[in-house]
Amino acid sequence: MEARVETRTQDNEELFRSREYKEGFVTDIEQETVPPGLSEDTIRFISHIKGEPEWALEFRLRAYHRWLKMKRPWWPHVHYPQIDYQDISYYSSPFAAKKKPKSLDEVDPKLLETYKKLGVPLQEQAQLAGVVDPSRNVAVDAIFDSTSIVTTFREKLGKAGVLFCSISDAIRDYPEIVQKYLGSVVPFGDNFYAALNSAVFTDGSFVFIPKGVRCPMELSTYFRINKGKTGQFERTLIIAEDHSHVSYLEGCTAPQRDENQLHAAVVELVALEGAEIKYSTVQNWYPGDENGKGGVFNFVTKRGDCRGARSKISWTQVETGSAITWKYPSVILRGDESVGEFYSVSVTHHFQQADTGTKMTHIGKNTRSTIVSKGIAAGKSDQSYRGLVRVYAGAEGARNHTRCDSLLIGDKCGAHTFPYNEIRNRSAQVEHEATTSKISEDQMFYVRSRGISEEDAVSMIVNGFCKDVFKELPMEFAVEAQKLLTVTLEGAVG
Amino acid sequence: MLEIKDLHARIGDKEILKGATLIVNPGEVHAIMGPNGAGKSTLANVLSGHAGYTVTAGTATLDGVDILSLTPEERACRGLFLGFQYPVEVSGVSNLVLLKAAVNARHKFRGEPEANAVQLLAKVRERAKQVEIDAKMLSRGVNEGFSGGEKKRNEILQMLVLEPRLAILDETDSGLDIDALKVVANGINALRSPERSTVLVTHYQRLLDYVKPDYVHVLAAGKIVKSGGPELALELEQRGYGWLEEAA
Amino acid sequence: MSTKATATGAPLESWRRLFDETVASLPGDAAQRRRQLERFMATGFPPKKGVEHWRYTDVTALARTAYAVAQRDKAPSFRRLPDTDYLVFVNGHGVEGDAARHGLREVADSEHGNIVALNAAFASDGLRLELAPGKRLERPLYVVDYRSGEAPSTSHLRHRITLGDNAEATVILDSRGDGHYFGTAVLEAKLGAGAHLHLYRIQEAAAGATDLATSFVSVGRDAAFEAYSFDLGSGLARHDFNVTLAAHGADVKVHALTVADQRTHVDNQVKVEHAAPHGRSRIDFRGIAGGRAKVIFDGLILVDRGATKTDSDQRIANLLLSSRAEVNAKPELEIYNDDVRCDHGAATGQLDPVQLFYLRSRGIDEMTARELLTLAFVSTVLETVPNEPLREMLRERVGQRLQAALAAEAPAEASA
Repeated sequence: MEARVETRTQDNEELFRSREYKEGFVTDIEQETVPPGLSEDTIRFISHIKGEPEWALEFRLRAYHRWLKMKRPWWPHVHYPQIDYQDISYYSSPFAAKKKPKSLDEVDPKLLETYKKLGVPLQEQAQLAGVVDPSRNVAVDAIFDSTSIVTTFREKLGKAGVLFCSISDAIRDYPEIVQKYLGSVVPFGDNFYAALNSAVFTDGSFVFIPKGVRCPMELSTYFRINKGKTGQFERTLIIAEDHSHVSYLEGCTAPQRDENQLHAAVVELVALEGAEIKYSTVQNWYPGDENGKGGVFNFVTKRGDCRGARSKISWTQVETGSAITWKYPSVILRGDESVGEFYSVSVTHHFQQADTGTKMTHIGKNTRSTIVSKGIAAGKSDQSYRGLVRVYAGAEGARNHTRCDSLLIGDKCGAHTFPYNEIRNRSAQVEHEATTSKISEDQMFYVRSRGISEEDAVSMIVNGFCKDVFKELPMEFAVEAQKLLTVTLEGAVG
Repeated sequence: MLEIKDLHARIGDKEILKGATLIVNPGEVHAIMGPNGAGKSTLANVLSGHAGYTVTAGTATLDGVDILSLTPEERACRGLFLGFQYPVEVSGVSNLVLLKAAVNARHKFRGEPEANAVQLLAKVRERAKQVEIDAKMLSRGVNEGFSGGEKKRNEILQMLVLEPRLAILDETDSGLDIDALKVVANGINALRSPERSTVLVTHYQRLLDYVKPDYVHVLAAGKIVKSGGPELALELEQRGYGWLEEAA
Repeated sequence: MSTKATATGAPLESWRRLFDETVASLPGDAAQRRRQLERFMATGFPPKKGVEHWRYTDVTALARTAYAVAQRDKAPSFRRLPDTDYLVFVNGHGVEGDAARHGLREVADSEHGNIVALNAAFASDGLRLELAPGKRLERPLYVVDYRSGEAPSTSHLRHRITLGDNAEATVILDSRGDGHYFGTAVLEAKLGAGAHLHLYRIQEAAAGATDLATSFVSVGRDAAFEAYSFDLGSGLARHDFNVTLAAHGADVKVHALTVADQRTHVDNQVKVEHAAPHGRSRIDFRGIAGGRAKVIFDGLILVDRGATKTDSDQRIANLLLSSRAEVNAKPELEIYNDDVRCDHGAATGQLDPVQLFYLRSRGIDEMTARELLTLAFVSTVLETVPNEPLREMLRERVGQRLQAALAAEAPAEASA
């Protein structure tokens, strides 16, 4: 950890200069985009253009009909206008249908340039920005609006038996696996946005780690929304068979636009006996400007199923972007002695709103869960932690520990904590601790009296506040996360 | 070096300093003693720029520069150091990170390039040894879970690394056992030089057995009421403060 | 708090009929009562789903049950505390005590729907305590609220406590009953500057009862409000407890204890709103659930934009005696100001097996050891009661309730 924090301090000066959202550029490229509107035809079109089998189309249509009868959730502590679902385009791709590039040479140079600018390596010999150790490669699935551009290291991973590709490819290439697991963790009617996603999902990643395999490298997906007025409907499915292990990273950015963009994702994780999935997110969708104009609506259903005994699913998220975030990465602890973890840093500034947290559902015996949430609200933003810990009657010996701290910067923001502890087993031990405060004046004076500027002192104290979460992130993401935190809180003090 | 003239300051509506005057020349060690509530800590905090105090009259200059209008960090970069009576815990921020940022802030202030990280680390380790702080503690959060004595030694460590021109140590000796007191005193003496000055704010004569002051002042009811040499401290030890408070 | 309850339709008509039959016998302005009834008809009982603060309690059966207005009756006998004044209500009517201390003249129109509106339409009597500035109630005022019903009956009380500046009072509201009844009680209390109110709520409703209480307490400048709540009943009980720190420097403490077993359902919804600077609030809740009981504690600390220097702390601790019981703890914070210190903690679990083993190794049998440790768990709440005879009476009642709950769980599972 030491090294990471120090890296950040060195970068401070440069960071404070780069005030704007630096991922806010638009790639000027011709895209094949369907006209706005949602109907059965739209869904048939998406399914057709992706060359899906009949069962996939059926799944979509059933979800669509369910969605039509559903209402958007009323309970999150966020406010936004009604979304006109007929005013969104549900498919946009930078290349013509069924002409997915077979190698990097076939990819439009403008796209390659985009990813280079974002610091995402598409060449297998290149590195993800910030990687210190050149022997550590990261496989990347690059998703641009509705389609996957390229997935790197497929061959090398294939040798280990690991399947890593876009979900569209997986539906065509490994239909029996996808059909078995798709919708098995998040049913298509789970909630309003999950139903919408199940009807119109376009791309996302698919990971399959066979029995006993430890994935030889980190896997990652980089989501990019480019086209205006399109929705991105990410669908990701990760399956870890018995005693396998995988670490997966996800990053997201979008151009700076005045209108809101919709990202409604569903992520399903399945961990079988003794398997371990570590899922890390650095979410940096365009947050809107300082007047609250524009920004991505990020409505996400992420759920992991510890289906096997002694399996483990760990979510780590750093949420700095999006105008509105609605997201609760959850774990169903079904297998005995399975473990669920949720580590979260959520930062909101200006007019951002976030309602995020987790659900830990204890079903198996001696299941354990840990929740660490650090929320930082600045400007006129509003954020809520919402967390459910449910222990079923059969979950003998279940344990949960929740730590949930909020920091407020300025007197116009709001920070809220809504924990739900629902306990039905007498041997369960569930503990929840929370604090809300501002940065202490004593701490500020102490640090400043050592010669450190006010802005650096805030940044230092805030990073210290988040340390318990950052230490859970893979190295290169931790560096990224600390930078983002500083940039997000730019101008929050004074 | 430090010139305080007729300084008045208050917390809220309560006036604490009522015309304190003090001159500290380079190379000198001054001890400020006085009864509880006399304004000793207020003086230290006001000089360092604590926002909780309001200066209502008087001046304070460091090397001729008015420091009262500066931010705490500007004062620090100009060479002022406050050893806190109650050092603050800053969780998650390690001692090393704080020291490095503090050193580089000074470099930046002087327009110098950043400090060499390896050399700085070596220096911190060596100074830590001097004040008997385990190297492992350097990676822990600032004062996080430190005992009272460890916190005070950590203040001295920061002082030794930052090498201030003027150190104001606010009751750095209180609550220490005799061994720890010697460590702290050795640290203070190590920094004594013709260019540097020290102001010891203390309650007890004990520290002055190990750090010989050039001058001893008595602060009572917000003013310096008596000044003298080291012998004044001994007299205070015997007679207490009553006779001076009456005079004030 | 959002109350987006919608009308549940035809069943509510029985409540309108009941109102038509009763209104002539109720004190005050009938037209005003009818407005409140219409408000209730429009909002109904909270629905099963879709209202956050009713997610654990289902009262929709109230709409389907044919209730009759409870009959006047004489007071049952009960043990009395020394140096205490008594006011006794039976089935919604004052039957004993100082006549100046009870009676309903008017129920003001209010924004509230649901049960508060129902209460406003039907309330037949209630405590009226008004203390002039500087006045002190020398003896505690003990209010017995007894209800009964062989066939399903219903009755409603509306209490009002107004303390002038620097006035002081101790009031005990003790609701209990027999048989099958649905009772509501709404309390409106206002504390002037520097006033002190100690308010006790003891709930010991019958197994067939639904006891819904709602309180609104507004605490003035530098005033102190200390609430003690004991839920010891065996029916369905709920208390919506709304406390507002309305002016600078208000101080609020809420101590609450629930002991529940069998099919008891106890729902405490405590909302403490800091509306002014320098307020201080403390909530301490302890719950014990055995049998098939359901214990809910939802404590919300709301800090408004202007409430700088707020200092609040909330502690929730629950003990589950049975794996068929359920506890739902929800310590919430809603904060719109950065100059605050708000903490909360919640813990749910069982008795510490190490402590249990320790006691048993000293020769104490397991049942007694459990009882001792459980008593220790609840005594932190009991210890806060300053009035000694009252504390001893509560200790006894809590002890009896606990013994019953523990005995139902025996033989206990083998401990670690």
